[in-house]
Amino acid sequence: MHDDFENTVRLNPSKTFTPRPVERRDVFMHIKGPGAPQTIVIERGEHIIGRSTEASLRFLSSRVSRKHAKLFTKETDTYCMDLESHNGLLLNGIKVHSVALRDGDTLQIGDIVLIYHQGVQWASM
Amino acid sequence: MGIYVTFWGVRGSIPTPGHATQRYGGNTACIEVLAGEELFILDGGSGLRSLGQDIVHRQGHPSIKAHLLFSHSHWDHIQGFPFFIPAYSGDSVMKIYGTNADDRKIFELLHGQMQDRYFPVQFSDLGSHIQPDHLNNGQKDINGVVVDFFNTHHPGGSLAYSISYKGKKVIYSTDNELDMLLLNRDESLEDPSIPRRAPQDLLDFFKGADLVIADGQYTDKEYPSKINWGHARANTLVDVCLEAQVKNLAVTHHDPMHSDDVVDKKIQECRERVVRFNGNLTVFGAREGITLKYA
Repeated sequence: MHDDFENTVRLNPSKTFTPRPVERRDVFMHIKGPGAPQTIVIERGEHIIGRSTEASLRFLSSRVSRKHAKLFTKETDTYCMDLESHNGLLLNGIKVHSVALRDGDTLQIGDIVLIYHQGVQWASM
Repeated sequence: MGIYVTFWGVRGSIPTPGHATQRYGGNTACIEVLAGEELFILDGGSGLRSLGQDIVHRQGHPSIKAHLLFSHSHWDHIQGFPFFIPAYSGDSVMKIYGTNADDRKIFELLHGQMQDRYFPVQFSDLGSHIQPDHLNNGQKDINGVVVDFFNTHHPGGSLAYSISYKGKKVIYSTDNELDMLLLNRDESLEDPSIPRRAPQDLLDFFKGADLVIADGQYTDKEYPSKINWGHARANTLVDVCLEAQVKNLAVTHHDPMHSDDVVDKKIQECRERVVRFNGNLTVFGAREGITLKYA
């Protein structure tokens, strides 16, 4: 009898590849200013960006205010809002009060330059 | 407290959801302006729905006291109103402005678009207090915020608004084919590289504004096939704003056929024109989800 499956590779269940769980996370690529380069994973919730010890995203630069900006999530969007900082918040070179971030946006906070990437594949530890 | 401006809808003609418009946004015209304690809503395109949802989110309840200013009654400027959550709240008070006491055109059109043939909820069933008001045929002072209007060039007519508060001035001028108002219209069509000269009354209206949000739907290349469609060349806005010594220009009413990349390119052309004329003007594409502050 002809075996239709003669060329089929049969997987041995015991040797099945189990991928590491991968999730999608939003990240900042910190490309300029003290501490660069680094990748910063954005956890959901509210974060203060600044040079204060109370800031959860802390940048040690005199051009960054102690509490410079706030990062927060609203529904599915991540927002960044200026906190009356001295040097302001620049989005793609334009001074803004707040912004719903989009993939590829460049934020400037003092001399810190961050590129926002949405939904980057991130392997869980 | 200064003036806060938030963009909720920046697209022209029809909502355009999808990947290609994700960055600038696909909602039709709606701008929120908070001047001191006074809330102004400029146009009620599909972006108005998002503003309503945000109001509930930020306040924890849907009640507002607001002044609604509509540029005109084309669909992309009124279609969000039936979906504006605060309009259903019994504690909301909304004033809808005409230019003078006899001008109830927009108020009546908002009624009309909620007739049972078009929408399941009638205007009269909305819980909020919606009142017609008017701009005294000219400037009106609303608790220290001065509102003015200007008749623009658009099929069926359209209004531009100026909102001034504590020395800061924001202009909203959508659906305005500025090119038709130019003093050198024909020459600038033939040779787009020459400076485009606007009439003095328009320059006076724009004069010294901190922000002009204006319709610049087309590139110079596209415009010749869109003459009389009621929308301007983005580069024309640049020339007018330079002459009127405007500080910031947000180009809005993006063409529904324009992807984010095309809008980027149009804005880049505007910026190059500013540099070529050695001007001092910041140009950017109006984008949903951005708030600007002038104080």
